[in-house]
Amino acid sequence: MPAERNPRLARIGGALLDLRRRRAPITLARPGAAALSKLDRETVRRIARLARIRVEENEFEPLAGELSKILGFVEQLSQVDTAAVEPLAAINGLTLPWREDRVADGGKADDVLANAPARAQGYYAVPKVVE
Amino acid sequence: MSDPSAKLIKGNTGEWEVVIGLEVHAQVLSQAKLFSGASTAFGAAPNSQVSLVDAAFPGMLPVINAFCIEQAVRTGLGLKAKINRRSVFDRKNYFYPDLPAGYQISQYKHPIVGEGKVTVDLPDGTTRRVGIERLHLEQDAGKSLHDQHPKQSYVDLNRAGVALMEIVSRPDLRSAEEAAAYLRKLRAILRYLGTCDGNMEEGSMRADVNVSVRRPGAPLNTRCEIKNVNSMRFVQQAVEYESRRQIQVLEDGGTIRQETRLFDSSKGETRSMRSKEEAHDYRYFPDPDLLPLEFDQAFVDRIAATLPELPDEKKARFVSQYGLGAYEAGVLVAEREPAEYYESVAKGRDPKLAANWVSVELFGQLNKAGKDLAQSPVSAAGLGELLDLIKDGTLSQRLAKDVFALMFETGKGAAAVVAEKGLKQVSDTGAIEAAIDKVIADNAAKVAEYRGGKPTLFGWFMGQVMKATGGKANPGMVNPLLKKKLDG
Amino acid sequence: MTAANLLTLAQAAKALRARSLSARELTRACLDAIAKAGALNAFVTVTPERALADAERADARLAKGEARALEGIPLAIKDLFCTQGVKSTAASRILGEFVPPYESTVTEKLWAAGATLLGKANLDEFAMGSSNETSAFGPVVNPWRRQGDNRKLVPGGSSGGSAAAVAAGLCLGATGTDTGGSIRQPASLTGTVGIKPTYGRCSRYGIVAFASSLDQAGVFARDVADAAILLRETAGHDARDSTSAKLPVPDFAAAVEAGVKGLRIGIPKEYRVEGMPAEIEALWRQGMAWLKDAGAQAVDVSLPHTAMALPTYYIIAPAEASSNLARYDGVRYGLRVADDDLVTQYEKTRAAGFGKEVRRRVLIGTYVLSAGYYDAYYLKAQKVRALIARDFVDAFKACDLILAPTAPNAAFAMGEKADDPIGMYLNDVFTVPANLAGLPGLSVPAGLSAEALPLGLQLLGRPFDEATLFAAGREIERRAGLFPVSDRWWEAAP
Repeated sequence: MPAERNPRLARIGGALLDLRRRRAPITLARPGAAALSKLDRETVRRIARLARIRVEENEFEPLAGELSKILGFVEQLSQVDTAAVEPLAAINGLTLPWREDRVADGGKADDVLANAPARAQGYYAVPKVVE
Repeated sequence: MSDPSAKLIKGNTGEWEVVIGLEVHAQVLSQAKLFSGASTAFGAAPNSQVSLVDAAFPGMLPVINAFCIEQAVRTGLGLKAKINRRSVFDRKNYFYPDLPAGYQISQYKHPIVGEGKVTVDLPDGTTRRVGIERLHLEQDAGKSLHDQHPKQSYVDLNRAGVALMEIVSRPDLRSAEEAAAYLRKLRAILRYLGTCDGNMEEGSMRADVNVSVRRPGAPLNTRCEIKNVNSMRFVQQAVEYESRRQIQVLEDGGTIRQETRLFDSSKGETRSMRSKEEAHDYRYFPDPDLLPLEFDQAFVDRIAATLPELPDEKKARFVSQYGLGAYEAGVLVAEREPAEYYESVAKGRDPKLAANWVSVELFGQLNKAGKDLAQSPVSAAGLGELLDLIKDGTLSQRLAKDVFALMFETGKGAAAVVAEKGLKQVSDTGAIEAAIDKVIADNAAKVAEYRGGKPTLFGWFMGQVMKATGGKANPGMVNPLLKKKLDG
Repeated sequence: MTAANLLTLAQAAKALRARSLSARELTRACLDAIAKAGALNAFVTVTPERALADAERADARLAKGEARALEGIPLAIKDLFCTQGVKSTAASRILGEFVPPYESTVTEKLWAAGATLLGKANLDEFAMGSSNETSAFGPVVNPWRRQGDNRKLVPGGSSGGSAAAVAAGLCLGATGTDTGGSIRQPASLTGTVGIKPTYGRCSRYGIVAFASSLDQAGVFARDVADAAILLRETAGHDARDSTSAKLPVPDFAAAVEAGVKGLRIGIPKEYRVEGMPAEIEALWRQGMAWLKDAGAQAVDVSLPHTAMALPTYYIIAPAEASSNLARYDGVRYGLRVADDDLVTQYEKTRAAGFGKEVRRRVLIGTYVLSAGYYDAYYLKAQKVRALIARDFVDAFKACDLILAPTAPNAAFAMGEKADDPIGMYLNDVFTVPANLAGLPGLSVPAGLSAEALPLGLQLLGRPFDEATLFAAGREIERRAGLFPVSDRWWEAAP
């Protein structure tokens, strides 16, 4: 391989190296952004609730640390100038196919219910919901 | 435009203005669901119209129904709205047992239809223009039954994945009546377009009603959303109750909390929904299983070319073409079928007479019998035939009403009823003269009175002659003959 | 004579057609090898009855001269593919007992081509991992060991069971899925050939979703020609997947010997990361030399946003996963930890059903999509992703293929990176960009490390140009040779 000539590219390589050594994440360019990467217990509690995953009390602290580390890692993206960039929407020029309006499925209640942990009279059964 | 000040509600501390916006969910009239091939038919056995896609089995993927796209565009055109040739399906994430995937596929930032408008006809004859903010396609959820078991709710996914158009109005409505009138008009447009059957009992059209109150001219106050109101009457009741409730809270020094409420139709009240109390964070993002929905202008143009004449245009045409009054025209165009019925009756006949017969006699009889137009025993051709018999002098207006009643009762044609019952108008001069002569002979005193200077008695003699002929004498012939004999 | 289970697919197909080997014998040989390979833990479920029944039917067709492309070929199927009537677990407790009433398109095509199902291969839970240590059914062990060192090594992930099964000769080929490198990285770490085709080439229908915009099915084989045959039989348009490409599938097997004369091979500068082992750098150089020897030319290309690929990936993939995994709620299928309160039931079910890495990613994904953070994370990532995709479009103006290492290291010891998520994520540094851009990538074994562990080279191509990848991969393979496991130590293991 020819030696590295482009200093800018070398710097990007260096960023990767930084990550490998897991130094403190590269500081964000945005003001106040540093706060983003630090997840507190309450935030973890909130997202765990949103995701409907029970987290035990003693897990919040270590989990907050782990997640903060990952967020710190991904926040490097703020270095990239995307002011004039449209988000990627479709890959490889694929376009949305449309199907014909025809009844071609259903009529398989047995299949639909076969794996259900609880069912009654052809319905799925869940703990009572109060509206 | 109607006078807004007339809509104000008097509270204990002054007047309040109600501000209402509606989010209407209209089920697309498609055979199969939005993203699966399962049937949309109403009333099937639980979970019998569910594909593995609808039940969100692992690895199942959505494929969009072309007809639903067309119907959304068609509806957008009917609402005079901007059609977005590129739109995006997003996932709205939340957990609920009748939402199998844990997300609803909907359109958030880029709906298929943008801004439009609806002209609402109010009972006082005025109109009001209501802004449409957007229309987007989304999946319906399944149905949870809470009253089948003491400790469990049951879930039926037959509805899960059925295509809905969510039509969001601007907060342009100012009273319960206006809200109901808007919904009525929207329903009429959808039914004209054939994109939704508007059947509120079966849930194919439902409204979420956003209500807030404010002092006239003040900025918008916090609103409450009343979920799933499923009739025009309930919309009206819900708004009335909710606006009064909010006024009372504010007048008692309280504040309105933004919340989702449920309308209890048995009590005519709204109440807070416990299940919706938790703050939502739907985490919308573009559904990666679906690429952006794109179509060209030619697609839109093809649909536009098949659009029927809509209620507003039809009403305007009825006024200009047939010389009808705005109110009467409005009554006739409220639904597509009666308007078509009217036009086929009016064709080649007196349009005002036809309008009167359709909107008074026909609608009256239908109402009385509790039937809709499709069940009418009298066809448009039948009513036309009746009108022709009036025109050619076979029937008087009065006789015609009797004939119509019999037609409605028996389903027979006008001529047949006339022949059968001998209701044909008598236009034979000899027979009429004989009847006149008998009336004159039997009422010598009255004749003397008439001839002595009381011409107003003429009407009484007319009545006697008609009575004597069983109402069948042609009044147009009775009149000159009677006059001649009395004056003679 | 080579044991039947160690034949290449092409060799076996030939022997089956020549009737010098029966499908039943071949299947038995694989089942016996699997029975002796418990120490590798490559399978979640083995389906001997089904396999032998499949083989019997294959023999009947072979006897009648009606053999299809994969008649009688025994395969392992990554347990992320739903197989009708056969437990499909995604290596998760939450789907531990799930028996799908449907078949994935990819496997349906394989059975329609006459292939035999040996069983469901182990993987990282929901394909989230790079070492196969996150499986709810225990880690997969790499058939390779370091020279003079008996420590167990990881096979890579997430398709670790598929890779290990192919490397150890437990099957003749296997399916995998690749969301961030889950086919190519384990292929590199086990000395097998693995291809992730273009996004849209293979149907995703019936594959348990991890990150829908990145997931792509592919295959493992012991040589390039076999991989080409298998991909040909799995690829193709599927009306049940809205992201499936409506394009004809070329005969990849016929493209294998097409050569690379005149092709321009791009060497992306940014893949030369500081801290990469010298032997991998050397192997990369060697690979280029081989391709030059075969008539190709080298060109320097630039993919400026390479360093941003991993952070981009670790926003998009968890975000999509957090939503894709919401369906595991204990209502319609899968594990349920019952409770009188619905929300508590959801929370307990999902806490018990998901392992640590899955939980971590679902939480990160939930966070980056949540109100107030969407723009800074998810939207930003989709924009950077567009830049990454554009980098490739620009690069492919100057070259026909890109050559790079597959992974920054050889197989590592079990537990070595288990508590270091980011260190683990870095394993995918060279593979993730192709997923973000939707491009095809092939990993082909090219040499051994100083510790005598296999190392792969990766070829990346233009969208839907897998054929050129196979041709170039074959040229490397021709020069590097194959890398069969020489020490079948696991057969003696308890």
